[in-house]
Amino acid sequence: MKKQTKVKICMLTATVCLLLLIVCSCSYSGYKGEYPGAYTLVYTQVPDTRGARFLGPNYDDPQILLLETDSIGRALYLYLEDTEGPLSLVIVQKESEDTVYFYPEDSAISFRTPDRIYDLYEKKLPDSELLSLYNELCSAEELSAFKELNDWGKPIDEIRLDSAAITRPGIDNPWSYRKGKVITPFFNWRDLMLDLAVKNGHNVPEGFLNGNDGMNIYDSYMATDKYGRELHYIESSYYVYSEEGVYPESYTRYYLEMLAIINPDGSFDPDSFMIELSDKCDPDDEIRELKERCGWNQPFGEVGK
Amino acid sequence: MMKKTKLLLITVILVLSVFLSTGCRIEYGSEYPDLCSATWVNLPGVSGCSFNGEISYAPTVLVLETDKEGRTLFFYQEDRNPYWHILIIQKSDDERVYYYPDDCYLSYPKGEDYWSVMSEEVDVKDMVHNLISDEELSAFKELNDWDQPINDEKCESTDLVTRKAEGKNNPSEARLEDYALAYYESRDIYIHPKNMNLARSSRYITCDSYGRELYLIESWVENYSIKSETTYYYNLLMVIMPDGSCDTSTIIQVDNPHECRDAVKQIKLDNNWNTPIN
Repeated sequence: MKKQTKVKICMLTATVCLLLLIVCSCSYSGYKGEYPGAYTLVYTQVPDTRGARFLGPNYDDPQILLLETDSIGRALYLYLEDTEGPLSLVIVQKESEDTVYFYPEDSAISFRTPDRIYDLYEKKLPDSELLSLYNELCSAEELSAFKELNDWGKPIDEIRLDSAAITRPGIDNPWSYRKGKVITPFFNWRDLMLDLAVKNGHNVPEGFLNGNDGMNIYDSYMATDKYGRELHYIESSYYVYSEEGVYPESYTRYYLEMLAIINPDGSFDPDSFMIELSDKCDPDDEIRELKERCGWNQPFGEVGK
Repeated sequence: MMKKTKLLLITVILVLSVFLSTGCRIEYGSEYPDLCSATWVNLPGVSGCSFNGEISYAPTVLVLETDKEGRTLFFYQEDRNPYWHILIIQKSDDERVYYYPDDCYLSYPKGEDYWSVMSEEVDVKDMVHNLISDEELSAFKELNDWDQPINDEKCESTDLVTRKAEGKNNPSEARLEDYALAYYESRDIYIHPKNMNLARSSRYITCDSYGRELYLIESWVENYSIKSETTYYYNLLMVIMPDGSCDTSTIIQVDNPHECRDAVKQIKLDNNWNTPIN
């Protein structure tokens, strides 16, 4: 073999290895920690979670702490993905090797993390600091109400229970979104979201409505019901610039945070399949309403009966 | 082998020379360094010659008229600056240029058709004629004593330079940020330091005879709420003393750095501009 050819082959191999190294170093093989039930609960119940902590350039398990268990075997956990995201408190009713059981829409409460811990972005918060943060954010009354809502110390109400298969999804690359089985990348999320936004009173500038101004859409799968319907969290934003004469112009970016339920064949009822979240740290009432509208966990023939 | 090495060496030198002589040039190399020097110390929003990626930007300067005393009325524009400027200098020599501070310029927004105007190679004199009315031009000339003897008491001067000068008091970015935060705190606006950012275009404008330096600090602040995030652009004028200190009570916020003549006058007054420091 000629020397030049050998050099070319070596360079090509080195480039491929480098690319593989970059992609692999950013990937996440899935949750390896000891609380897969709490992990799955947050993954399926709390909007806008990634299921992994980004620790600059790698992903790692989110931080989950077991705080307490009751006499029935319920467990109270603390969950944090990163210091910019919310701190969530979740109660698992019970779990087996492959299933976690919880009271849907009542099993998690989330708190916004304060500005000061932003400085720890991409760093792991020590457990002790996570606990003191929890003590600071969650009052005794809130905790007590949350426990009561979840029948803490009482027998499990089987009628209220919902379940999810234990999941430990990985992340292939830094750009991947959480995907369900329904193919959604070709959905016209943009128009669907803007229609609802306008109905809800958003003053969306003309440039976004007519398609001249770009919008990034983030579509993240959350959960599947017994009949294959999927719950998705979709996020985007539009900008409104301030009055003229100010240079450069200050602007406000308005978030559009929606939840949508899609049928297994990708169809949906355009009048009812989507709802806007007023606060993604307090989504329970809106998730409940949307599920009711779309017949979540009901056989297809029986919806609306 | 020797031949190949020589060839490689020559190629490297050639490539480097081309790169150094074109892409990196951020000095003004044309015929009006005096006009540029006066512009750079008077207009808060201009950058001078700038360099971005592989493209260097030099200002366009065009003499429109001179009077019998040797004053020059000229047009100045920078590609990345959203305003056209018209200025008058009183006189210049090989070392210095003289002007009436704060009265020597007019600025006009370029408007949305700016790029099409530039690509059509319009006659700048015609364009200026459309920008400014005869009355406005007369008033501007009168303010600068056009065709009258130069009033040396009104004059200020600056060194002739070919690139916009940097300040000598060298306030660090952290220090400027502290001054900006102190300014907002004094107005009961709390900004988390993480949300305060200084733009790279924050710049030194000019200095007085005693070493006080005037800066335009372009900063932006992000303010978060549940459903929105607002980015405010704050342009702050501040005077930095020779020891690096700043009287933050004199800082002035300006909406538009290209239209802040009154604010510049005010901050100079508040900081005893051109009077000895105690």
